[in-house]
Amino acid sequence: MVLLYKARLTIDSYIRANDPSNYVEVIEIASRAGKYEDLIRYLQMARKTVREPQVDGYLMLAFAKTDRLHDLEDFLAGLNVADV
Amino acid sequence: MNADLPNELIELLEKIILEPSPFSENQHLQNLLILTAIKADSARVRDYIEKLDNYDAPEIANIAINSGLHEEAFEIYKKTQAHGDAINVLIEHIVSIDRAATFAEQVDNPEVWSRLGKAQLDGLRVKDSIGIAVQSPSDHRFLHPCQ
Repeated sequence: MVLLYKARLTIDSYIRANDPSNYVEVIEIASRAGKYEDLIRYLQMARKTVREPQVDGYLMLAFAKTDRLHDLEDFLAGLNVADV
Repeated sequence: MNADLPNELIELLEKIILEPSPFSENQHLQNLLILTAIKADSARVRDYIEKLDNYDAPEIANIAINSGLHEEAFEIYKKTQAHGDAINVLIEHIVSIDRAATFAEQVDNPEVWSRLGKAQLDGLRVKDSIGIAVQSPSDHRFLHPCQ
């Protein structure tokens, strides 16, 4: 429970910082904690400045994990660099 | 200081700095008063930090940290709006993520949120490693999780 709570706090801090620099580590802890809703918010912030297959790929995965299929469709219809 | 009369020196400096005089705003004297207090009477330091405005803040904060006066260093950075340095003291020296989070809410700037995020991330990763090591006592790879 502590891990889940703290994963969210960490993601919130990075979102308020508007700072995607540690995206590899943030993706790792969010995935491990199963915090896909939070990961979506983070990755949407990150991809404003970072064009990385890992960012777009995990955003797709997070949409799928949270059953946000309309968002996933919109995402695939737009510009992305995910390795599909 | 060489004469080893720090208390007398503090008394003298207080008279010409805290009371109106031509030297009240002198940076060297303000530095000297705070440094003397750091060495000889640290309980006074916080009061000087609040009252005085002309001392060399980064230098004094640095010396305060090296003298173990972390709270005082934090107050200096906070007062001079060196927010990044202030949250660093909370994270690295006072070692309180909770206070760092409260401070980030107060100043609400990207640099501070970023520093907090990194500290929270580092904390999670350390806990994770220890958790894995504790769960796997028979696995030799985890005998030395800190190496």
